[in-house]
Amino acid sequence: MVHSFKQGWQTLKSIFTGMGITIRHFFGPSVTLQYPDERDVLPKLARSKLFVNIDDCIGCNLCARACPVNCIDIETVKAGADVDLGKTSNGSQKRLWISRFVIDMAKCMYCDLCTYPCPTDCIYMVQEYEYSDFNRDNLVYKFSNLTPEKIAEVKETARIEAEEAEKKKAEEAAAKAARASKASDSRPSSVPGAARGIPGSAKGIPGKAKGIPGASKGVPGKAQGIPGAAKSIPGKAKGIPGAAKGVPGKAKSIPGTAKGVPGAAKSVPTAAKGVPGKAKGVPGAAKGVPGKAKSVPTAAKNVPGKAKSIPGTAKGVPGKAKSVPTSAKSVPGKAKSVPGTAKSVPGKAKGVPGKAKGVPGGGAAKVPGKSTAKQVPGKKPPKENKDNNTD
Amino acid sequence: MTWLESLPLAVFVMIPLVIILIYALFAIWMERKVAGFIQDRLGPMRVGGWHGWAQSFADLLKLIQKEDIIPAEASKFLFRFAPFLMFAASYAAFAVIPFSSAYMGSNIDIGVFYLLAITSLLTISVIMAGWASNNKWSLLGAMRTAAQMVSYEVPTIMAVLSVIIVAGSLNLMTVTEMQSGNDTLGFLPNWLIFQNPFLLVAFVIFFISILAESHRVPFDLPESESELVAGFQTEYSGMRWAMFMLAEYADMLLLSLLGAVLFFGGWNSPFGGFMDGPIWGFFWFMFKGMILVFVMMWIRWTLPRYRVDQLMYLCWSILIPLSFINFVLIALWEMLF
Amino acid sequence: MELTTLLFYFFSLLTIGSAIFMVFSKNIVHAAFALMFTLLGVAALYVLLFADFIAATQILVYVGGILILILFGVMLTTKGFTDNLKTLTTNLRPVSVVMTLVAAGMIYVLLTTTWPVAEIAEPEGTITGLGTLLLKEYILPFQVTGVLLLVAIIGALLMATKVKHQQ
Ligand code: SF4
Ligand code: SF4
Repeated sequence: MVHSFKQGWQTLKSIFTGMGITIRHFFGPSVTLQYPDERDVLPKLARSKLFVNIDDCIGCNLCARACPVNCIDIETVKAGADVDLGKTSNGSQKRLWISRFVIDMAKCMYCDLCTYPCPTDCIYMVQEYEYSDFNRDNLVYKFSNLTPEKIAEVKETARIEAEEAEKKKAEEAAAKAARASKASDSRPSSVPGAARGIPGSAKGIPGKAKGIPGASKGVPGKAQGIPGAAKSIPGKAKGIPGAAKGVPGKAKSIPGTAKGVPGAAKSVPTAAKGVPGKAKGVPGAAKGVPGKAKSVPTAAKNVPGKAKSIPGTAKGVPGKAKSVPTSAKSVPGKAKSVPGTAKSVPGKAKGVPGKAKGVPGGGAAKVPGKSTAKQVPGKKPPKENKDNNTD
Repeated sequence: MTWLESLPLAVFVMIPLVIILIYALFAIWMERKVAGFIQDRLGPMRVGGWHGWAQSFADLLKLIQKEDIIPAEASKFLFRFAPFLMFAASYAAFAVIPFSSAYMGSNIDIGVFYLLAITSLLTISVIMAGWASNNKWSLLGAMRTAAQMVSYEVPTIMAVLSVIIVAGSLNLMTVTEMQSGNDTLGFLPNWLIFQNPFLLVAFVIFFISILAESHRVPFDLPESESELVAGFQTEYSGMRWAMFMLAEYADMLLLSLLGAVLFFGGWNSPFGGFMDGPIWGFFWFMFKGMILVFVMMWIRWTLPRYRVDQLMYLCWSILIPLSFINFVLIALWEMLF
Repeated sequence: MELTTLLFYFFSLLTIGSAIFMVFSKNIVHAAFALMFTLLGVAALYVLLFADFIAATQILVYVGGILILILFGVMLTTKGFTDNLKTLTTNLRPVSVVMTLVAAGMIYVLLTTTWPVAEIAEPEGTITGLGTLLLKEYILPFQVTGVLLLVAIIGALLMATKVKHQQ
């Protein structure tokens, strides 16, 4: 009984305590905001809508790479040498047209990771959070301030410039090759003996050719051609041009295989060294031949074909496909076994090193034995290699 | 009496309906405001401008537009009829409430007795709605409601009877009239709650019981959302559901007004002769009723819900014995003084 | 037609109609709700006879008490609430014979009795007189009835608790 009363009293007490609390809140001020009419001040680092000050953007792509959900899409075009894009507010020189800078805010998860890497601090969060929309496409924000015509124009300019640059390079290379071939021209005539022996080796090459995937298409053609060439090598010695004919053909086939490896262009001319006349044609093929590696073997094939002893090396080539210098190196090797040819080959050998320089990437050859380190500038660490790519 | 002659009568009868409708619109808005303020919010603020006063109208419009859905397996007639029976029961009880010294629906002697009798129809209508819906939640809710209302009728009646002993009449007008004047202890109004210390206990019992009778928190088991979806109203929508809400709010007002009559002097002004008269009387009466309604809302946003067994325990083991003891004590007090 | 007469016929029809429905309904819950209309109709008829206290008692006791008890009984004592509870008609022949006799007797009484007709007059304060009668002249039967009900309640409680103990 007493217990019940105590309990009852306690219940009543707690009820009144609770009601006291609620009535205090009833008369207390409200803590809510009348949102569309009043707004809270956002904290300074609030993450909300992204904004890009496109005038300051140098198009370095760092923000897009930082984004974990890939919602930033940037496309840039190299500005012509005579165009000054001005400087950013912190003094960096701008070199790229930003032809596209798109942020898909529907994908963005507001992690803020994109804003930190920006070297010019031009991408940042703005204090705006009311941009919901009924259409998802409206959440894709475009920041590039170039008109479509302008973009087309700058792209065209960039293309022409790049072409010219290629041409120039090719010419330079050709000139070099020409110089090299002049040196070797005089020797070939004395090699007939060697020439005879070569057909045998030539036959063997086609087999290898198959092993060289990228180059392979073009190779069979050559392979066939080579026997002929082989026979006539003595003639070649004089007329290396004959061999050279085959090379341009290959060069054409290469573009398809190897996109994006600018370095290839450089290697091709190598084949043409002896063939100044053809040199012109090669650059064209070279343009598209990002995959140097692939094109290079081609050159290599020719070389092995010429020397009897080369087949051995040739086998190694498919694997190495990438290493142009290899061929160059191996050539000297041939020289020894094919005395007759040897003389003329050295001449080439000289020319090859020139190539080797052009094809830094290729240098990473796995043909340790043969490739003498001297000639392999390409052994540069891969990292730098990459850098070249982005160039 | 012919048709035409009965027209004034119809108007006369409709007065509480107008009061109930206005009150319901106001109370729904008020409920939200109270909820908001207690939770440090503001409640509805947009519709109609000042503090969202038109929110209830907007809701009513919405409810009117809603489709009237009747479950395929429901007992059609009973399903349709239940909300109206419920409102009719609440409304019929207003007949004996003296709104002011000048207006009372039916000045009959059995006043309170009639009121208690007619409100028992509420229980039936709840069972009807629950059973007709052919839905487990509804039926469970209905059974709970019925059990709860039947149980709490006992302490309610005992508390009312305690007042009736003191007042000596079942007619609520008479009960109100005898509470006029300001003589208690020299300054307090002659309200029954100040007349007898045990009537204070009776009021507590009465108030707890009417909370249960009108299904208010902490006794809102019939429609406890977390367990029964919406209890007996689960299958109802649109205007039929609105009818239930109207009936519930009317019931709440009815019981609060009854409390105001029985314990707080009905339409009597708290200042004796000052601010007296039929119009002021009506104002005071509604004011007192609304205060009780406010307390109900206040409790709603303070206390959690009882469990079924606690509800029954509170009623049968505490309130009923207490109300009987209290009844005897009041009778003794009345005999001695 | 006068409003009162109209109301009388309305409630009479309601009472009889729902009574018939209750008898012939196959669904017990429907029958129970029909009974509610019958009881309400009877209460309304009491009101028309100025017997307001009886009317209120009728509602309080029958509708608010007994009917809810019936519904609870129906709903709680069968296996499922939502099953359609059906009624059956049994002993059709003996019952019809007995009922015919009873009906004949009642009609005979109705026809042979002379019914005194009183003027319609609103009585002053029905409950005052009722209370005085109950607590003065009929105090003994009133108290005995109260004791009887108490005994019934205690008995019911006892039975309920006994069942519990056996379990
Ligand atoms: S905030 Fe994060 S998700 Fe959004 S754009 Fe920046 S890095 Fe991508
Ligand atoms: S990191 Fe900055 S500068 Fe670089 S692309 Fe993104 S926005 Fe432009």
